[in-house]
Amino acid sequence: MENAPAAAPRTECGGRELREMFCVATRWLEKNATAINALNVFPVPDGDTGTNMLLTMRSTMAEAANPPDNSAADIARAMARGALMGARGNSGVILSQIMKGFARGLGDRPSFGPADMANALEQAAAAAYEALSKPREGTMLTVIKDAAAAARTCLSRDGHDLAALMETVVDGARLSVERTPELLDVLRQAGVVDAGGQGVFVILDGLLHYLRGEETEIELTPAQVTAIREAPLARQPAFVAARALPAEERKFGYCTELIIKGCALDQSQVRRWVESQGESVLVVGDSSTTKVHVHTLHPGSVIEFAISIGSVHDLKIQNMDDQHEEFVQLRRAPTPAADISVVAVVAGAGLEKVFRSLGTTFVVSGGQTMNPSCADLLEAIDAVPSDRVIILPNNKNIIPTAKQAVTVTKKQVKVLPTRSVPQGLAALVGFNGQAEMEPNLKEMAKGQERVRSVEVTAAVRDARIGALQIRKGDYLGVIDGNIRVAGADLDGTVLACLRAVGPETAEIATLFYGDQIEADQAAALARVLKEQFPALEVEVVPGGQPHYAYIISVE
Amino acid sequence: MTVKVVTDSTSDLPKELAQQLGITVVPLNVHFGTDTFRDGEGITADQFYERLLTSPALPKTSAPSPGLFRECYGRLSHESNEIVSIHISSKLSGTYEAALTGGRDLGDHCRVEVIDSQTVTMGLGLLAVAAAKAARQSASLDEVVKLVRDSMPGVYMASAVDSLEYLQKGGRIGRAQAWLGSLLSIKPIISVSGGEVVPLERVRTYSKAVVRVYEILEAHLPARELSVMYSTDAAEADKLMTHVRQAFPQQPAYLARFGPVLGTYMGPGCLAIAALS
Repeated sequence: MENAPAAAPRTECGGRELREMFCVATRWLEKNATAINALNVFPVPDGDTGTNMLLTMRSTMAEAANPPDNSAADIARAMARGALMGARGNSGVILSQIMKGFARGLGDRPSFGPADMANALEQAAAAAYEALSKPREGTMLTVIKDAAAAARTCLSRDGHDLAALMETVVDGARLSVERTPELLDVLRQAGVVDAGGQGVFVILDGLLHYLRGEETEIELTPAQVTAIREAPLARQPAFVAARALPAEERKFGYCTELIIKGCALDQSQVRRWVESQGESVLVVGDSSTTKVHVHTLHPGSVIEFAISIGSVHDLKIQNMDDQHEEFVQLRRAPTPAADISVVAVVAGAGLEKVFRSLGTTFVVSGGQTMNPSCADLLEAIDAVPSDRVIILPNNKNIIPTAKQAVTVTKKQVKVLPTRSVPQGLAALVGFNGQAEMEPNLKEMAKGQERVRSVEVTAAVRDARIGALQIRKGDYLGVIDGNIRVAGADLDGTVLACLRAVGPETAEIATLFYGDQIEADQAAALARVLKEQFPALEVEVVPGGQPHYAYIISVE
Repeated sequence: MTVKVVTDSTSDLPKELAQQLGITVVPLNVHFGTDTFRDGEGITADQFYERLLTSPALPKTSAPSPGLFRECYGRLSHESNEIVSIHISSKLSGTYEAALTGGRDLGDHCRVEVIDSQTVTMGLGLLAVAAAKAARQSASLDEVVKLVRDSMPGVYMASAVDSLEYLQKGGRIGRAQAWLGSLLSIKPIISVSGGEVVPLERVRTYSKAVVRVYEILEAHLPARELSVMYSTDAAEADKLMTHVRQAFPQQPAYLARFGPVLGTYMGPGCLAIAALS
């Protein structure tokens, strides 16, 4: 871009330029489509937003090739037709309406200047809103609307240069995209900006590339929008859009807004001065009332200046670093509170993960040989966001403590007396955060009854239990709480346990291996189990539990 | 003049039934990489599921273009001046918006009423069936529209899902997402409510899920209209149909198969019911 010739301001574009301009925008969109796709979150209206918008633009441009070059209006109408026929997905439909409005805005003009462009963008925004039964903010609608508003602002200064106008438009669109998560909760929760809005921004940016004479550069420029699926925290909008911004913009400073009232205010003088103070400058109004918006590191000087030329009203100063931080915090905030929370007692990182993934709000670490105290459980009950709580003790020795906690707490707490980890899990599968307490307890109890528990651990001393002669170090198979199998061989003990459970009626065995078992070792055992019991589905999950080599849930 | 009934291919209406009742079905698109198929055209259900299971990348779907709806309405406007167009929940697809856009500026000679059914597959299909039956008995457009809107709250659906993979990758499960996000093999039973996919229950094994579908079905018998749906296991669906016939011989029931669009999000091994009370 350094070697681009300093072109004279372009005040007027014809049909050929209009077509080429949108061709460049389509190529730019193509370049960014994958990154836009990555921004998709539910509710995804249809497929991938980037791809849908690109396919829509391709159809738009195919139709644009038909009319002769001499009329911008003809080309715009052809594009609108092409967009309508090729519209893919929700974003494509809205894009087609934007193109329709754009054509409407150009009317019958053979060529267009900045004022026509601003008008066409306004019409584009209007058409997009008209198209939807329930227009929603924080989407591409908002972005095209803000872009059009930016065009109008720029025009009210001294709009003779199309590229200058589009620069303002693209800035407006970028800010608008950044703000989409503030307007739409699903975006905020997913930590992305709106994909369709990003698409609109990219198209407008493509138009600007053309006007700046950078058609060839875009082939060499990497995609601007970035989204990293694996690192959600890196997906904050400031990050997504910041790559396109000059480095100094990244220091946020203070968002300063005020209205100056006076007589004979000189707009361009005010703007020049404010522009010297910071970024994202907006100065709009007339000679008696002027609204000023600026991101500056020194809001004080802006106010001093304003007071020197008139009276100051509606002053608003916000620390954008705070806003940014607040936003990041919001992103980290957990999902909204459920009406009923589950507190479960579990030991082992893997098991904890499994319990959480199935809807446990709070995991209290503990189990056999490390029973949590009543205070531990109360702390958990207090910590969960709901007033109604279900406790899964997952061990018969913890059930009394849990029942005791119920008598002390002010919350409405029920104990589902699960005596093992498999029972707790099976109960949890039946949990539905949206349902009421009683149906939940009923469903969960049913789940608990359906499952058989096998726990395999090493004997800590010699013992005789019933007919079983046990030596220290032997493996013990505990089935539904009773020691039923003993043997020197670990895998053999597991097999004997499963035979005792009766695998012919079981469909699935989930094998949680403990912190002393290697993944390979567990996988090898699973293979043996599959050979021995071909009808049984065997699932191997790292449980990470201490003491118990294997905890097996059989359903 | 008879009101014309239009729906989209996510209704999964059996072809013969649609033909017999004169329902026009506008296809959505299914994309395997750069290959694009119109739902129900150019690819059979068997071919689709075969490809679904073997394709390295999952297919994607997209709504019909507004232009396609425009064409369809334009064609029908030669036969009738009243069209009711009933579509998949706007929370699941852009089809409704595309239909609205396609129906605009059609001119004064033909009125198109586009309805967001808030449901999908045969839930939607049964509404179209009800509309077509009313239209055949010379109901006016306003009457048909009222019938459909009044029937919408009576639609109930439930589906056992064998593999979560498709639902999760397809990204259309709304608030069911967190509920399914699991490290263990879970067989969910899902439904559609308020236009969104919602969780009903989850169980650990597929046979338990099937048992629950039977129980849920029995709770909805007899129904005004009923449908059994499946994705790949026709035998399982036949069994359920037989069960319905034995329990309620008078019950009208249709057997339908999830087409490519539903199949993309539900995957193989699904057994489902839709009832209109």
